Parts: sequence; structure tokens; C-alpha cells
Amino acid sequence: MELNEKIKKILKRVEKPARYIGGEYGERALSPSALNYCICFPDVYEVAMSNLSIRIVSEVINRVEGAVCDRCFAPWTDFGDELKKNGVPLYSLGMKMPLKDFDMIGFTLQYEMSYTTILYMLDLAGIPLLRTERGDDYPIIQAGGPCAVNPEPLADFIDIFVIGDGEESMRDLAELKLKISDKREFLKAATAIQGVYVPSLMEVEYFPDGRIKGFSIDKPIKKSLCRDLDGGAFPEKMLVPNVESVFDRAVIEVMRGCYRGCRFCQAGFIYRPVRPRKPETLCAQAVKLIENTGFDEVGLNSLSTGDYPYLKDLIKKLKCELPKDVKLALPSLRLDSFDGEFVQETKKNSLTFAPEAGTQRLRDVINKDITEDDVERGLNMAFENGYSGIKLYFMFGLPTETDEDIYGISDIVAKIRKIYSANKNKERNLRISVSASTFIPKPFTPFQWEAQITEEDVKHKAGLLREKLFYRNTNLSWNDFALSEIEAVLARGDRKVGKVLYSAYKKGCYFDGWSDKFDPEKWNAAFEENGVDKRFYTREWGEDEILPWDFIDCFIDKKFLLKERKKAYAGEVTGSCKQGCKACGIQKTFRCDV
Amino acid sequence: MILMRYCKDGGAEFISHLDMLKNFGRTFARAKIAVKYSAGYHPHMLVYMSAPIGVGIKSYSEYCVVDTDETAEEFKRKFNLYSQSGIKCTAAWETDSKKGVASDIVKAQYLIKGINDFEPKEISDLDEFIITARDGSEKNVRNLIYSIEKADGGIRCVLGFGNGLRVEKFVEKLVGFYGGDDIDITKEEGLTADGRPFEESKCQ
Repeated sequence: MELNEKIKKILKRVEKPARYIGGEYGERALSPSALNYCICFPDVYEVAMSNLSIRIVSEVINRVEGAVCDRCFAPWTDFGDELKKNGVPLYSLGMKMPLKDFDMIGFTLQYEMSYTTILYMLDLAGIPLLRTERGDDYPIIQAGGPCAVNPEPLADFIDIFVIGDGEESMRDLAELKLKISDKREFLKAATAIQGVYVPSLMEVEYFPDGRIKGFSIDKPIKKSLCRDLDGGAFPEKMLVPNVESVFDRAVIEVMRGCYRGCRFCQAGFIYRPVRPRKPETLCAQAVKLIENTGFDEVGLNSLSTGDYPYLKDLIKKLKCELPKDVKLALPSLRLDSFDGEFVQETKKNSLTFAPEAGTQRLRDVINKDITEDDVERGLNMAFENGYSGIKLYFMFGLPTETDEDIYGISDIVAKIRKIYSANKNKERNLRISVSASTFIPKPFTPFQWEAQITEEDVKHKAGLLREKLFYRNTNLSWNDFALSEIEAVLARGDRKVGKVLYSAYKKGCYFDGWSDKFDPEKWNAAFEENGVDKRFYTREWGEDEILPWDFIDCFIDKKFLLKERKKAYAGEVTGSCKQGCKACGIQKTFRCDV
Repeated sequence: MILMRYCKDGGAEFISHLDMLKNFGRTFARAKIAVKYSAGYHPHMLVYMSAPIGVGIKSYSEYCVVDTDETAEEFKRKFNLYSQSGIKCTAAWETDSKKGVASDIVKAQYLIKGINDFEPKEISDLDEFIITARDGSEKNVRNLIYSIEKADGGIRCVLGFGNGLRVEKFVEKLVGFYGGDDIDITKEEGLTADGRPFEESKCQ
């Protein structure tokens, strides 16, 4: 559909106007239907267009007869300001239809710091932020995605959450909406769909000290699970972005879930069980995607692509079937799965690895099952293949971390330099970038009860490392603590945090994930205004305490998580599911293919 | 080699030159137009484009040379079948050289709408027309304003192209003089030094 004159006028005044025009190659001709759904991504076009989950949801909805799925991404501040100034409501990119004219709007929750951007988008659309202020005339606001496993901080704003995989639940939800138009009736009926949570139908009771006393629902809400991922909806057409996006390539999802169980990693637990797709299915999808888009690169996505059981077979098939100039990108490789055959074809100079912790002891604590030998073998392979840049990710503040573990990071860097020289390279050509983030305890992990370290701790650890890492061409950076602290509060927040989100947005906080837009002062004022103490959420939680997300069932036994926590403190490694079932609980629901 | 003329409108005028170049590569791949590659360390498609126009300016006269063995007719058919909305190949010619798409188009004819009514003679009578360049320096570009007249509800003018005068700067100055709103600029024709349309002199 055409852009209206008002929008065209605005476009001439903003940066990267092509973000807001739609019309990309591959866009379906959309027209309003019985059910108009708009998938929204609370970040800019370049980030949104790289995201696979919104493509899957669009595919699922568009396959439902009578339903149409359009899309909308957060406009950057210049365009947002112009929309407000000119009284133009936020619109979808396909039909150019105002968001408030849709029947349902779905937000994907990929990152806690995007929550205020959801409020920004609702505001630009002219939709009241609070669900209690939205009558029947407004669309139903839905949310899903990885952060939805703890939906409570957004409970004041979202009408309905879909927790878990979207393939079946979103289809069922769309079909139900086509049958029931009344909002209340629909929300009530939707709770019969696995994975659906309606905050208005649940009350939370608190103790006077702020801890949770109980939830008013009889049984937990089970996450939605796509049992047949191989046959699950996958978009074989994708839009070719108008503006260079973060990952400008075709993407196939080789498997969902991860065998490893690193104790800090939320994705490793909430996406269980591991469901690999068949190489034939993936190959056919990749061929179609390349044919339909003209991209010259295919990303083999998953949480740990090196663990995909049929990787060699898949790569062989892809090399055979894809045009010869199409490159393969394997974005999530572990050091121990790094193999000459899997070496990235696209970049020949820099590799990224995430040892996460500086010593073997701490890596055992977090169940990052990587040994010094693995590191050495992986790096030797990398240097033999011509890499001269290494990017390393670590975390500050992991449970039981001591100064020795921080010095261990520096030892790793020294070792890398030695290995590089031993490979007959000149040490001065090696570039190492060490990046450290602050550990954030996340729901549904064995570390969900842990405390987050303080700003002073971070300063101390960073100081130690800075003193030690005094090598040529070695760069050290670490995350802004204030940002990590708020992320930690939102990750483990309850409904009380919603009020802080509301105040923070009203004070002008959005695009908080963008460091130049993040304003800790405004956030602090929002906490203060609502009498909410950040430390309540970043403290160590009691093991017998009811957690804000305890009413959600991700099929992982709490007893298993507690056992894992104990093993962490004992420095015991659990290892990968590939070495045998660890009885995390998912096996009671799904027969894992290990 | 193929010399193509294409238009950029219907929203596509907001796509930047660099993104256009990237999108062209993908269009050729989808259309299975076999484009030759450079033989260097970082091989790239041998595609030569005319000088960039500003984001937001519609154009019916963009040129591009593509190193391929396709016939002109086949090229145009395939390209239009696989091109994104707003970008359309309007003509194609077989050629054996780059035809100077970047260097020989030194003037362009524009239709500009939205500037408040004024007498074009006031501009053509000026001895100097000063614009402020990106680096803040001032520059007299009067010699790059070849003609200016009222036409089709706006003004039609021929200005220097790719040689120091950006039409947006020219328009900015006129809006400063006379006022205006909702400016709409369309590049109607790319011209060679003698003032003839590029394709008239190069593509026959």
C-alpha cells in the first residue's frame, strides 16, 4: 500500500527513511482480513529484520485462513518525534495501517531492556499503555519470546502472553480469535491453549516484606512446545531488507535447544528439549531461501551449532546444493566444537569465543564444559586457518568467583599469544579483544537464586584485569553496571516492577539497550518514585521462596535446578545431554533425541 | 555488458545509494543474471552506477552498467521480474564499455515542487549563487545553474551533477529566499556536457 503524503513529508526529514517504507522484495501483498495481526519488534529496523522468531510467527499467522500478519518495528527517535508532532499514529510497514486498527498486536520479548520500547511503540500508536485502560475498541496486546518466561514485569501492560514455542500456540490463538470477537470472552477461552497466560485472570498475593505469598491459579501454566520442529512452520521466503541489517543473510534454524546446560544460560534451559531438524529439511529450506532472496550467505543458527549432530552431513549437502558463491556462517560455535571443516567461510580474520570464566574451577562451577586442552586445540585450528583476531567473552560476578578467576582471564590471553607465536605468526599481528559483562541471574536456571554483584565489585574486578592485561593490541571492555543491574531487576521482577517501567517510560526512557539512550538517573528516579528497591531483586533469593515466575512450567524440575546449584558450589560438572540424560524433567514430557 | 536505465520511485527513492548497490546484487542473484566478478583478493560484482542522488529524490533517469553476457531484452525482463517495488529497468542496451555512466553525466534536469512562487529570472540574473558545502566552506555555484524555468506546477532546472552542486543544497537556498514546504524533487534526465540526454548521445 502507498505511503500517505504526511508520512512522505516526514520521511524527508529523518535519518535512514528506508526503515519506514516497507515494500521490500518478498513482501506479500497484504490486505485487511477477518483477523488483522501485527507482529511488533521493539527495536529498530536493522535489528528487527535480522530476527527469525518474528518471521516464524508471521508465517504461522499467515497460514491461518482469514488471518493476515503485518509487521511494525520501533521507529528511531527522530521519526518517532515527527510522528508525534504531526499527529501520525504508528503504522504497519505492509498495509501502512495504524496499529490501533489491528485486532491483535504481538510483541516479541528478546531482551529485558526493550520493555520500555514496547511502551514507546504503544504510545506512538495512540494505544493506552495500561491494559486496564484499554477498552474493547483497542487491539489485544500480546507478547511472547524468551523473556516471556517471566512475564510479570509486563503484566500491567500486556493482555495475553504466549510462553514457549509459537508454532502451534500462535496458530491456535489466531484461530480462536477468528471465532470469538469479544475481548473478555476470548481471553478467558485462550487460557485453554497451552502456553497462554492472561495476567488479568491471576492475582498475586505478597507478604508485607514484598516476597510472594501465592498465586490465585490452581495449576501452573505449561509452556507451549513444538514437538515436531522438522515439520513446523518455517518461512521459505523472507524479506530482503531495504537497509543493511545486523545480519544480512538467509537463516536456517538447525536445531532448537542446547545439549550443554551451562548454569547461567537461560536459553539453554527454556528452549529444552533439543530438537534438531533433518539435514534434508534444512538443505531444502536453505536452497529456497537463497533462491527467494538473492543473499550470498546462509546462517546456520542455533544455540550451539557445533553440537548439531548432523553438521558434517549438512555442510556437505549445502555445499553441494547451494550456488557455489554462497557462503556458510556458523555463528554459535564453542571452542571444543571448533573444527577446521566448520571454519567460517565469511570472515577470515576474527573469531569470537566465549570461555565465560578465567579458570577451569569456575568453568566447572558454571558447567561450561570446556577444558584448557579444548581451548588450545580450537585456537591452534583457528590460527592455522589464518585467523589473527580473537574476541573473548567473559562474565564478572559468577557465583564463587575470586580474584584468582579474574587473573585466569589474563592467563588465557597470555596463552593465546603463546599459541599464536608457536604457529609461526608474528605476535604483534594478533589482536585480542576481551569483553566482560556482569553476570545476571535469570529465571529457570540453576543460578536463578543467586545475588548479582555490586558496582564496587565490578570496579574491583575490572581494575584487577586492567592491571594484568597490559599487552600490545589487547583491548578490554566491560558492560555498564547500571544497565546490567536494571536488566537483572527486570529479569527477576514481579508485578511491582511494572510501575517502575511505567514511570521510567514517562520520564523518557526507551531504547535502553542503546548505550547512548540509556539514562540511569531517570531509572533511579523511577525506582525511588515507586518505592521499589533494586537490591530486593538483585539479592540472593531464598531457596524456599516463591519466585515471581513459579507459576510457569517450562518442564524443568525445580529440584533439578537446585541440585545443579549445589553441584555448582561443589565445582561438579554435569556435562552435556549427549553424554546421557541428566533427568532435568523435560524427559517426562518429551522423548529427547540424544 | 548491459547499460540499463532505471527509475527509483514509489518509496524506493528513500533507499540510499549503497543499499541500492547491495540490493542490485541480490536482484541479479534472484533473477539468475550471471554477472562477472572482479578477479582481486575480494571479488566483487562488476557493476558501475551513475553518481549517487540524495535520499528522497525520485529519479527516472538512473544508469548502471552491468558486466554480463545477457541480451538487453532478456536482462530487462529478468530484472523487472525480480526487482523490488519502486525500482524498474525502463530500458537496456548491449554495450562493450562502461559508457562513462559515472563520469559523462555532468548535468541533470530536475523538476522541483513545493517552493513558493518566484520569478526564475531572479536566479538566472544573479552573478553569484553561494551555497555552504558540507565542510562549512562557502562556494559560488552560479556556473553550475544552466537553466531555470517555471513548468508543471513547479520549476524545471538544469544543474551540474556529480561535480560540486547537490540539488538539495540548491533547493535549500531557494527555500531560504522564497519559503516553501513539502519539497518534492524529481531527477528527470541525466545530461552530458553538451546538454544532450545521456542515452541520446551514448546509447544509440
